[in-house]
Amino acid sequence: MTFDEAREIVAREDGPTWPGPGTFYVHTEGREDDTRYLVPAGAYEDLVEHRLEFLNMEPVARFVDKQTGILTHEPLTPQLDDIAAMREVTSDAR
Amino acid sequence: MTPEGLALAEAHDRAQRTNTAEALLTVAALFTATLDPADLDRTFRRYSLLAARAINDRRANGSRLAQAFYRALRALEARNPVPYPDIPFARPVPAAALQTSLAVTGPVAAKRRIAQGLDAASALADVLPQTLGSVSRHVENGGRETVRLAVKADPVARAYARRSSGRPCAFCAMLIGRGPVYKNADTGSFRCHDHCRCSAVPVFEGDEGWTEQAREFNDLWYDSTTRTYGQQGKQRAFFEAYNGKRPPARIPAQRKAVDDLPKIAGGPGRTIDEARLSNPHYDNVNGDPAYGVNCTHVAQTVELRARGYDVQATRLPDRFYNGIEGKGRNAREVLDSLYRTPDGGSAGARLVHVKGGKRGVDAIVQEWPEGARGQVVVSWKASEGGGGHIFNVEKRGGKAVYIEGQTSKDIAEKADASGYFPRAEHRWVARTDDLVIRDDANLSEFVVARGTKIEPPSPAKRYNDEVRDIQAKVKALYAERREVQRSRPTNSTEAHARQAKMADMAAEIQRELDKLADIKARYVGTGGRR
Repeated sequence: MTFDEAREIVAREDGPTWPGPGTFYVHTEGREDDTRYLVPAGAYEDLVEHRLEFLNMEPVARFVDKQTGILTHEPLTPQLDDIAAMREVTSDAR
Repeated sequence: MTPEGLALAEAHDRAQRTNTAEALLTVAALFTATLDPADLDRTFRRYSLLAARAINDRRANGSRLAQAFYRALRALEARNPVPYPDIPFARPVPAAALQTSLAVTGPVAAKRRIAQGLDAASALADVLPQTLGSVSRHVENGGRETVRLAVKADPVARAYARRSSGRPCAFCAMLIGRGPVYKNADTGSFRCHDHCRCSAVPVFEGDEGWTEQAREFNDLWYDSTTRTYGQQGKQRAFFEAYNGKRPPARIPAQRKAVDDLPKIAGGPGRTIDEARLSNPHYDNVNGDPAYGVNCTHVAQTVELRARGYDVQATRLPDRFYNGIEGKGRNAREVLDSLYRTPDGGSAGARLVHVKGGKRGVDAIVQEWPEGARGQVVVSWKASEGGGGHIFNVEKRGGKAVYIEGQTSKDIAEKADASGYFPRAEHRWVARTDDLVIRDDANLSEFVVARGTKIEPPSPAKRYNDEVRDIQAKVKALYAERREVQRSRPTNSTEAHARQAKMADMAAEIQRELDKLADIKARYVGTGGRR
């Protein structure tokens, strides 16, 4: 599974039910390790424009399992150490 | 302030009054004995020299009384008093300034009355209260100045608060209602008038510093100025409300939200030591994830605990987070919903964007008085997941200490939040210790009494429990399918059997994935929406 395939899974599964505020956006940069991708997604106004009024104070980390394609959501802040240990990955679409 | 501290402040007020009364008796006696109504110009010189000496003697005595008061209160109230042996001494009033003051309120005022037709003796008697008002200000400023200078130089003093032992004038009531904000060059000078009965009371770190009197006047300011604009208009509205000329815009009779919060026995603790008590149901491995995404609640809990309230954080309400998606709370909205500035302004507007990473925030906190607290908002790098976090900061020992309360782990290991800065893309900071809790704050959504048992499982917890087994089963099926795929059939029968098994497993995987989709569909839409 490529990072872009993982991005598609996130867009397909979370995009239609995105509660807002803002415009749903799947970021072109993420992280990976041997078993999963971290696919950042959320409000474009937060991820790209960094506007405080769109900043999600309780973000979830979206992990896509490379083997199964299963998307899981976990509170992000407690995962920071694990995320920092993952490798950077960039979309081909970028 | 503790009841013992308040008793000390009241005793100090009484001692200052006695000291001032001695000065007034002396000056009144000199005024009567040395000033000749028939020859004011010639007799004023001797009078003013003697009166000035008496005033400065009593002023020095007032300064000594304030030194003793400061030392005693500091020992009683400061949590971690570093040695501070040299409490400043108030300087005497310069002779020229005293002579002018005594002349203006004595012979000059008397001559004006004589010119209006009053006889000289009556004119002098008439202006004596003016002189004594001025004398009381000079003498009492000795104590006030001593406290002001001591607070300014003391690393463990947050500020001084103004208090009055009588019913103050409207102007003084307004200043008292600002609470413990007086320390730096902008706010530090003690503005007072003749006959003023106000005194300066130091407030040390860990103490909220709001007296009942200050709260009363602050509430009146808030109530009487909410529909008024401009500083002059607000002052006028407050003065009229204080003097009973018009009722406050809102009737402050309702029970305040903060009245329902339990207090920490023995007064507020040190913020950093209290942090680990703020979110006891946090368990990142097996716990309810809604306690891992409640940073907006935890930051307020840490602040409230520092104010002496014995509370712990609630989990994030279901409408903000369903285990799949969370909208989270907006930091500015949270601050605005719970607090206001002492003059009734927006608490959320205090969040200012900071450039320069941790050093930028350090520099802002450096400007705060010792013991001041605040909240820091950071946004994570987008490539690491995005979103943001809020945590607390306190100025301690002249430095910013960053505090993470969203953990119940060992405090030394997890409570230091300074490690967040390299991972943050943007930062905002607001001072919060001097904010006033709004009467209508919905505190029960953010905090409960400490010791409250864990709340019923959140949708996030129920969702996780439902999908965990299915996710594990899908993973196992994939692994098994890979093994089957790797097998090498030796004949056509085995090849057919392998193909059939692969197809069965693919169908089973799809069934499990459909189950996951169904569960997700059930949860999405039940939460995560405002």
